[in-house]
Amino acid sequence: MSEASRAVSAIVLAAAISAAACAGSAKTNLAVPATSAGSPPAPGAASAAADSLGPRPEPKPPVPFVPPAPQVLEGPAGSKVWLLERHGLPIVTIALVVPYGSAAEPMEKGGLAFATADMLDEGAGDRDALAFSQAVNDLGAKLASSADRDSSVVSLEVLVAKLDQALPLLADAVVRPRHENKDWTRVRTLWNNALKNRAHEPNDVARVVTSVVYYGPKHPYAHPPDGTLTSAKSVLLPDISKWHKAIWRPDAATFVVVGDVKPEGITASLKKAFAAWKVPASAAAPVVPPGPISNSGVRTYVVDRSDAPQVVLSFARSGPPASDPAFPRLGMLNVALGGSFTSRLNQNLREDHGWTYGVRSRFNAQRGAGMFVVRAAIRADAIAPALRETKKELEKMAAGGLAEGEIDKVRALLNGEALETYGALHGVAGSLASNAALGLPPDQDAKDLASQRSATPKDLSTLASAYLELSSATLILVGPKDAAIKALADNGLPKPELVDAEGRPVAR
Amino acid sequence: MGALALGVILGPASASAGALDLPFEQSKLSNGLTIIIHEDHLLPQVATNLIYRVGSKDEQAGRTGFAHLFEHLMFMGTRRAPTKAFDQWMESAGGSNNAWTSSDFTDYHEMGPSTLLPLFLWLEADRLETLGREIDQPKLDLQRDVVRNERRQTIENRPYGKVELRLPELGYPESHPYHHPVIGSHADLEAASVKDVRSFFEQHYVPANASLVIAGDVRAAEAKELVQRYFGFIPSPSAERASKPPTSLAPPRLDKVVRETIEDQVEMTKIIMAFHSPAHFEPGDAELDLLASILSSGKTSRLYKSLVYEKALAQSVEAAQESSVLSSLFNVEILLRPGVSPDVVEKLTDALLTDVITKPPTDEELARAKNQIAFDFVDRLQSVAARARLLNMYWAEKGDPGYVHKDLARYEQATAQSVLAQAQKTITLNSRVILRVVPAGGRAAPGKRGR
Repeated sequence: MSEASRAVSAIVLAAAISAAACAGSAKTNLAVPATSAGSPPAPGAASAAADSLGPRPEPKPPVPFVPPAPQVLEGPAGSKVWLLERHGLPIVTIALVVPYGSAAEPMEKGGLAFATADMLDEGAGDRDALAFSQAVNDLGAKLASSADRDSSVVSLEVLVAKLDQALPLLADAVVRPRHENKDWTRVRTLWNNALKNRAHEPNDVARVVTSVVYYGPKHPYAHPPDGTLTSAKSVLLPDISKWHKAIWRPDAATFVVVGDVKPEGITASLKKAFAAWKVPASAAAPVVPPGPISNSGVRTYVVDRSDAPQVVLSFARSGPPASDPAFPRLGMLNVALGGSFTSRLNQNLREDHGWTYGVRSRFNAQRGAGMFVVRAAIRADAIAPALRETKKELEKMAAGGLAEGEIDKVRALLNGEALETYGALHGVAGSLASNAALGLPPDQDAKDLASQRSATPKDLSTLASAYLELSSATLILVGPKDAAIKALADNGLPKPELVDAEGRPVAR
Repeated sequence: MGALALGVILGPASASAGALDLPFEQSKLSNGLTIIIHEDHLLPQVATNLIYRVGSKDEQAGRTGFAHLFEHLMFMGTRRAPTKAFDQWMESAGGSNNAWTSSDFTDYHEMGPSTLLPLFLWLEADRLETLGREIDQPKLDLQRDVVRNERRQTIENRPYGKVELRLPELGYPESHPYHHPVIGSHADLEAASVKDVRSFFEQHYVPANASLVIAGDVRAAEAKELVQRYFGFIPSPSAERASKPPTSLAPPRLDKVVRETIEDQVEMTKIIMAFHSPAHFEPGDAELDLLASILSSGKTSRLYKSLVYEKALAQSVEAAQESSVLSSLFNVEILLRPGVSPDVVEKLTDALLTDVITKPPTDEELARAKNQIAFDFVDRLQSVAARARLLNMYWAEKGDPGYVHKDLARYEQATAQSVLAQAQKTITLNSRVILRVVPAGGRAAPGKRGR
C-alpha cells in the first residue's frame, strides 16, 4: 500500500544523513530527563468557561528516564557480551561488532570493509551461498552484515526457540566464510551496479560528496564506506580474506544481545557455537581515531543534476569525536537547530516558507574527527533564500545559544526519544552496538543523559559559539548547476568547484 | 520487566509463532468514536493512534492528493492551538508525532512519556472539533507548498519514483477509486480551495468515522475517562453516513496486457508487472503473501535464484502482494543489470511465473515462507506504537482489534494446493500491467545528463 507521510521519519533521515553506509550503527543522540518541565503559556484567547473541551492540560513532568545498563559478561575466546534482558516477546537480537571499518582499510581499496561484510553470508562453513541463505530463511531468522567508518557488524534476529539452531549459522559467517571465486564474481558485479545506481540518488550523492570534500583526499573518513566505482575495482578476493582474518578476531569483538535470554544460557550458547573461534597469534591492529581535518575557510561544491526539481543542500563543518565530553551536549544544540520537527531550521524553511519537505541536522558520532551536517532537499527556485536562512539560523545560534524555554524543550524531547529507543529491541540493540563500535562504555546512554541534564545555558552558549560559527565550513549543492551557482553568488559565497557524483572535479 | 510485560503470549515453540495474544479493551462513545486500549507497563510511555476511515479513494475528480493534503492541514492550527502550537506544545513536553495517508485511511499518531496522554487527547479532540471551520487560505497555501515538495523529494527526484504515479493509473480504470496516486497531481493540489477543505472535513472528520487506540503505560479505566472528557462532547453530525463499509465494486479486470515504457534519470532498466489480486484479508490474500516470499525472499527463491544468482541478468527482484481494502495488486519488480535485454528477462520471468501456476510449491518452500511470516508477526510487536497501529488496522479493516489470531491462522492454514489455486487466479499472463522504466535518452554519464 502506497503511503504519503506528513514528515520524513526521523529514522530514515538519520540514515540518510549519517556518514555510515549502512544503518544500524549510527549513534542515536540520546536524551535527558527534564528537571523542570517546560510549560508554555496557555492559549490566551480560549475562554475556559464557555469551552466544552476545557483548558489545555498541563502535562505532569515525566519520570526522568534512566536507560538500563547492559550486563557485561565474558564471551567466547576473550570476546565481550553486553546483555540487556527483555522478556516480553520470545525473540532475541544479537549484534556482533568489531571496531574496524572503512577508516582502517587501505584508501586505494575503499570499500574493502564493506565487501568483506557483504561476503560473510555468501557461503560459510559446510554450506554454499544458496544453502546458507536457505538455512537462515528456514528458521525465519534475519541475518545481516555491514560496515561503516569505525566498525563492522553482523546481526541476527530470531525467535528464541530457534536461537540454538541459528547461532551456528552466525558463527559460520564470522569464523568460516567460504570466499569462493564464483560468489565473489557475482557479489562484486552487484556491488559495482549498486554504485552506478547510487550516482542517480541525489541524497546519496550529497552524502558521498560531503564526506569526500569535507575530509579531503588523505583523510581516512573521506571515502564512502561502500567505496567508489574506481576503488571497488581494486578490491580483490585475497584482500577480503586477509582483511577478514585481521578484523574478525574474538579479542576485539563485542556481542550485543537484547531479548528473551538469560546470562548463563546465552554465554553457554555463544561459547558452544563459537568454539572454533580462536585469537590469532599476531597482535590485533591498534584502533586509531582519525585526526582532525586540515581544511580551512569556506568551500563550496556543486554536483550538476540539470533538470532536477530540487537542490539537495548539504552543509558540513567540524564536530568532535563521540567520546568528547561535549558530544552529548552538542546533541542538545542539534535538537534545537535541526534535529526535531520544531527545530529552528525546519520551522523556518518548511513551516514558514514552504521551500522543503523537511530539514534535518546532526553531529555524526564517530571515533575520530566528527562532522556536523545539515541536509535538506529544497525547491530549485528557492535555493538562494534557503541558503540565506540556513546561514542566518546557524549564525544566530552560534551567537546566542539556546533560549531558556528551548533548553527545557530539548531535554523533554531527548527524554522522550530515549524512551522510544529503549521501547523496542532493535532500538536498544542499535544504540548499544553503536557504543561498542565507538569504544564507548556500556552505560554511555545514561551518561549522556546525565551530562545533558546538568548542562547550563552558559555551557550551551559556549559550545554553540565554538561549534556553529561559520569561518570554516563546506557547502555542497546537488541540483541544476545554474541555479546552484547563482544562489551561491547571491549569498556572497565563494565560487564553487564542480564535482561529479563521487566528489571528483569535473571540467567546466 | 516481568515475563508478560509486553502482554504478548506465545504458545509452545513450534514451526509457527503459535498462539499470539494482544490484549485490549474496546468501547465506544455515544458520538460513535471507537476506543481501543492496550496496557503495557514496561516503560513509562504511551502511544496513540487515530485512524479516520478516509483516504485517496474518497477524493473527487480534479481533487487528487486531497486526503493527504488534508492530513497536513490538520497540523496548521485552531483557535485554541494556534498555528505551530500543536508541535510546539507536544515537543516541549517530550512528545513526537507523525501521520500518513493511504488510498484507504488517514492515520495520526503520537508517542511520548505516559504523562502526555491528556495533552495528546486534548490536541486531537481540538482539531477534530474545529479545524475544518478554522482553515484559511494562508494555511492552505503553505502546506500545499510543503506537499508539492514532498512529491518532488519522494517521487520526482528519486530514481524509479514515477512508478508510484503510473502504476495505479495503468492498473485501474479511470472510474475506480484507486486509479490515481495518493500524492495527487500538482494541478489538482493547486486547485484545492478552502471551500473544498471544509466540505471534505465535514464529510469525513467525524467521531463515528474514527477509531482511537491508546497503547502503553496507562490504566484502561483512566484512559477511557480521559477520552470521554475530551472527545465526548463532539457531536457526530454525519453519523448516518460515516463508518459505512466501502461500497462494493466489481473487482477491476484487465482484459489485455497494458504496456508502457517511461524514461527516468536511472542507470538500469526496471520492469514492473502488476496483476489484480484479492483485497486485504479476502480469501487468497495470505496465499499471495506466501507466493511473494516463495518468488523473491532469499537466494533460493524462484526469481532470485534464476535471474540474479544463476543467469546473472537481474540486479534485484521483488514480488509483493500490495494489499488494500477494495482490491489489491500483486507486483513483480525486476531491476535489470546494465545492457540486459528486457525482452529476454520478460520471457524468462514468464516461464518462472508459469511454473507457479502449473505446479504447487514444494512443502519445503511453503514451510520456509510460513516461518518467515511467523517471525514477522512477533517482530512487528516490538514497540507500543507498532502495536497501536496494528490494533487500529485490524479494527478499521476487520471491525475486530483482536483479529491477530485469525490473521495468523490464514497463513497457518494455507496449503501448497491453496497457494497454487490462488496463483492460477492471479498470475494471468494475458491480463496484467507491464511497465518499463528505462534510462532517459539512452545511456549517459551520471551526474551530468540532460533530457
